[in-house]
Amino acid sequence: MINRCILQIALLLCFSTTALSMSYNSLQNKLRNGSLECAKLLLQLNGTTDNCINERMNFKVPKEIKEPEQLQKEDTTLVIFEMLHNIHDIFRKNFSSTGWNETLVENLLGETHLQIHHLKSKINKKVTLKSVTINLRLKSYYWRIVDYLETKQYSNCAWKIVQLEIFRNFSFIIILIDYL
Amino acid sequence: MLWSPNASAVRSLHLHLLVYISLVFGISHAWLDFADQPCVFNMTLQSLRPILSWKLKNHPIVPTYYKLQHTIMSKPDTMKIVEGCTNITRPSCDVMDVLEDIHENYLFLLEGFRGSSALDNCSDIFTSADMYFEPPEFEIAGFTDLINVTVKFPPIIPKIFKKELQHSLSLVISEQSGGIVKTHKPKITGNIGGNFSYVIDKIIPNSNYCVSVYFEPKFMGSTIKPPLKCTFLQSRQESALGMVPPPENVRINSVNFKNILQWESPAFPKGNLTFTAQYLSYRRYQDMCKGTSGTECNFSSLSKYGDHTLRVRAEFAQECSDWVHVSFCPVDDTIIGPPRMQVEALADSLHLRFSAPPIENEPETWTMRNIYNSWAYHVQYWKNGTDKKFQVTSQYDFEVLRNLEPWTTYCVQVQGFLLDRNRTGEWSEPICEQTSSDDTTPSWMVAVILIASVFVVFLALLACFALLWCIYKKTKYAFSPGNALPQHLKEFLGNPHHGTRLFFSFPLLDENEVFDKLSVVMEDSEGGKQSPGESCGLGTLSGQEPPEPIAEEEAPPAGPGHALAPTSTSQGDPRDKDSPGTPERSPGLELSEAGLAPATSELGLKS
Repeated sequence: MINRCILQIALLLCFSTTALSMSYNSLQNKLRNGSLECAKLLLQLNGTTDNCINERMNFKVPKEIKEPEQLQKEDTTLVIFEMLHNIHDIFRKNFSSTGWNETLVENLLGETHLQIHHLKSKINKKVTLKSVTINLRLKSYYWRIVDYLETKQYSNCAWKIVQLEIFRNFSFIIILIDYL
Repeated sequence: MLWSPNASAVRSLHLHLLVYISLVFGISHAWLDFADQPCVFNMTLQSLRPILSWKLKNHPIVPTYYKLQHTIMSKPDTMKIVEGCTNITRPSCDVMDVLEDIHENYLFLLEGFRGSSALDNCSDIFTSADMYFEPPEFEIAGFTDLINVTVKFPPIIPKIFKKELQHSLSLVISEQSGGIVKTHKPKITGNIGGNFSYVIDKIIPNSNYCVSVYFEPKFMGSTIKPPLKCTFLQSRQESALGMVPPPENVRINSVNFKNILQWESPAFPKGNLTFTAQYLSYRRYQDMCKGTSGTECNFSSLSKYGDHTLRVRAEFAQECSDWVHVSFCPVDDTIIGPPRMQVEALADSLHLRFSAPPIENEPETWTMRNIYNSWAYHVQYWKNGTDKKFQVTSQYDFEVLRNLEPWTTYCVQVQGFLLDRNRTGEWSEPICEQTSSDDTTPSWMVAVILIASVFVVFLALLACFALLWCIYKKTKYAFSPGNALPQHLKEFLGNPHHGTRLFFSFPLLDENEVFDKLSVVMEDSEGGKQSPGESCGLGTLSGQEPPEPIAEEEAPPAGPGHALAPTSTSQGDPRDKDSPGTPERSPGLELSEAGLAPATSELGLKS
């Protein structure tokens, strides 16, 4: 009889691990689709035709974003979460100078919000030194972007530069999702 | 320094001029802006090599040569010249060395020159979304049961993809047949170079397959529609009708799930034929015996409960005959072989032990019994020489045939039998054994033997006891403690008064003792018969009549003499030696102590 019990427990474990792994897999798929959607929306925002070469700024992308292979799984989740969060916050700022279609920006905000929502449950609430460091570095990166926008007084060129930078962010996110 | 009021007019004039000029500039700038994009850029990846090409919009002045510069948008870097694309006439440039990072947004600046005068320039920012992936070159080779796809990769993967090829791109091979499209995504790494080979093997023979290969970028970018390459998969059979005859008499010989497909080679004058036998496995036929020159093929590995279709054909050189199909279900069609049996003769019965026939191709010792639930044995036995057969059915592995005649040879045969299918197997070889005699002893004999044995035992015991008793008797004196006093004496002696008297009345002769003389005068003068010599040890006595009953004083004295008296009758009186002279006795005297009478009287006087 014990044998049967063991068999049932083993089956249960197998199923639960499969289910859990599938849940992560579906998260990856959701994030991937969401990020692609966001990037498409971003590209549709037609601002100035000027290439704004002179407004370029090096925002110094942190290495956590650039080199995800060194990160652990929880840290990757945290990085993606922070990135999406900050991108969402950036696009809530005043973009009236750009002449962008507001519906598109609303959609973009909605899409990022959805992805943040998906990730929220997977974030490890434990505060470690590593997580604090990552947080700080990401926050300082996005603060540089926001500070730049403020300095340039939300001009359309500044927004274009920021748009390109955020597009870069999404291409990083796509790579990061694979490391989840 | 404040200006004079006169200067106010000048100031306003200056202001107006400034505005006018700036407007002009602005407009011209705007014009320039518009004129800035006289070309349309296009970035395509030809076998992963990024090629930037441009098209000039209908411009009156066509440049003779071009110069290309590039930079990235994430840093305020300076513009760099694209090497190999300086003073070029063609409207395209290979920018493989320029694009280093897939995550970067590149800005390209194209300058057109006519002679030595610079014409307008156009620039554009390229993101990864603007890349068009051209499909790679590939070849397909179709065989009977597989398609080999060879994709030509560039020998060197561009830097832009090298780092994370599997993250940025995936190679897709799609196969289409009969409306069904299947995509394959083989894994590719950054180290891939040269030709990449992929085999599609799950295909249906005798159908048309179309394959296309293209790149699918994981993040933005578009793919140019890939071409399709089709092949028709033919089986090797080139049916030249009737040239090669099919095998004849195709049959399945299956015993105990050892399935052998047998056929006969048809008459073929041209030479020796080889045969190929296949079985139907899901959607296609699999080979079991390929190119065999024998006339049989072992299909024991087929699953027992399946409904199988087997086929065989003859081949000669490149030509083949038609297939001959046979359908077969092992569990229903296999012949049940003869079971094994062991026979033991015990008294007048035969004990049979059966074992079901084993099955081939099973790792453990499985028998037919394991496969069939309703397995039973049919036993047939008869007396050797006669024809009358007896039948017994047994569901177990043993059976006993009872009440057979002793000292007779019986022959037994067994066959396997399936109760639910009512199917019988083959009979085993008959085994003949002779029964021995009827060993059963009749009950009366048992009783007789029992009683006899009890009797014998009883006698033996008796003899034992008798022997012991004899031994006891003989040796009782050796062991026994001696004579015992009679009871009345014991009582006498037990009385202490009597005891001492006896003790004292048993005196020793002492010459010092004084006696009173007593003489007894008798009427009978013959009293002197008693010899004077007679002297008793007891002193002087003269002729007395011993037989005279004398009142005994105080009685039963002369104890010892008395006591001795009875014994002395047989043994003689040891004290009588002193009185030899008294041979005669008084007839009336009953007392046997004749000799003692005087003693008695003597005694009586003693005090």
